Amino acid sequence: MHPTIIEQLDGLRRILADTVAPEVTAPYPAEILGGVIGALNALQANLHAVPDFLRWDIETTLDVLDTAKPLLRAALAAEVDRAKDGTGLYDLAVLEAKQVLLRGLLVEAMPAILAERGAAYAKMMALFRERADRFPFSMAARPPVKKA
Amino acid sequence: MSGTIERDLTAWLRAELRDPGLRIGALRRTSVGYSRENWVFEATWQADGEAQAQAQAFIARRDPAGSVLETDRRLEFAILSALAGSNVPVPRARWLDADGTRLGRPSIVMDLADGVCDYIVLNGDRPLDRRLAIAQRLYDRLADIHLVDWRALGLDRVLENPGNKAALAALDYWEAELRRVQLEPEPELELVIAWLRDRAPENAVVTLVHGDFKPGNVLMQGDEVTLVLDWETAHLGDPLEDIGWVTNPLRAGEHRIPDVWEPSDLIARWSERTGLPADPVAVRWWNVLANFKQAMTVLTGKHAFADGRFDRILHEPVAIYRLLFNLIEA
Repeated sequence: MHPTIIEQLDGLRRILADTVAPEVTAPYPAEILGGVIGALNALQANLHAVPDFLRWDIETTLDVLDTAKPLLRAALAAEVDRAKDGTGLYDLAVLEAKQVLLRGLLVEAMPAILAERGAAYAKMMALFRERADRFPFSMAARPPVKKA
Repeated sequence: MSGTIERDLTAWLRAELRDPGLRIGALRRTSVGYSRENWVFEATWQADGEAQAQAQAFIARRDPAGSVLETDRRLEFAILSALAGSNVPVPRARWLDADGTRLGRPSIVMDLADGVCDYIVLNGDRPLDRRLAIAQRLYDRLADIHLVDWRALGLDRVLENPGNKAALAALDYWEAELRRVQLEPEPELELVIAWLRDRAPENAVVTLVHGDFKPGNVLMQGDEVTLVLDWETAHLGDPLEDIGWVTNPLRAGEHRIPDVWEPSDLIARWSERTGLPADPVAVRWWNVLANFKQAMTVLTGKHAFADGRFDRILHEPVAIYRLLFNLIEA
């Protein structure tokens, strides 16, 4: 299906960079436009990595929660079990919703995990660190030099 | 948009300076500042009884529709006005539009001063001895802020005094900000909140705290620090909050000169000038809070972008999370 999503992003970035940007001279709009072009670049470069990242995040968070299950109250442990249903994990919207659900369960489980400081805690910290390394987008631009 | 601002600013300044013929020109929004809109311009007017017209450059700081930080222009104006009578050099605050009657959103107009903001001045092109001297002058200004007699300046009438619970008050504030802006669960930050709450130190003194002290928030002429800018996060609290901010490893490139001006040098000079101790355990706690605040600015920007009120895309601050894990597991 051409233009593909990647081809469309690349085309939009090119139009903004080559056709629009040279005509934008006011400092604030020029800086914002530069940010938009950079964001399109990042999206084009990393879009393919998003589903794999979400699947990894879901599986690894589930593993932490499964390890923590003996520490959890019954209702929360049952929610963890229900979250193991893997239906639809090829669909981006389903992946995004599942990730939010599991990270919410991890927040609920955290007091018990911190109180025990055992295997679930070790797995949680490993998840957090590896997640930071695998996250497909960088956070923000460097601050500019400014004149006042 | 600049047409509306020009019209509204002209009307505002005509009223303040009592000259219906006042004109403004060279109006532009600077690209600087993630939290406030900064509009610089020049006004020309004729003062009462004066034969000659006056011209002066001003800067209007207006709340944006959305930003990385939500703060109160009323407090910023009160702090700037109070500090005008101190030995801390601050911009001259002229007029306050607290409720947005004049410019549509809360705003302050200040004199525009000469000078340069350079966030990497400590690691720029100057020779090492000059950069070290700048660093010493810069953080002496921070010590001066902590030495301000805030009661004598009346700041206790506008700012809340947290007593010896400044750490808990700061944590409560930033946790409330997280609840206000989070778009999704943030387990990494929940972990950090639990760590901070378990270890919140008590402060020995209450001082004025700048809240965002850095080379990029001072104005320099040559090698001299002539003004301290951006008081929007200033409050009463533990001076170690500022020390934790300026020794935060995340911002080392701005605050540190490798092997010459390390955090230990900064703290030793600050302690000598203020006569205050800097407990390393407390400084580490404030380092962690500093990064929590940094993460919160990103989440606030994400929230404002998702709401269509902010022009920049920010993503999850995983680099800050990584640093936070290192700090709390050290």
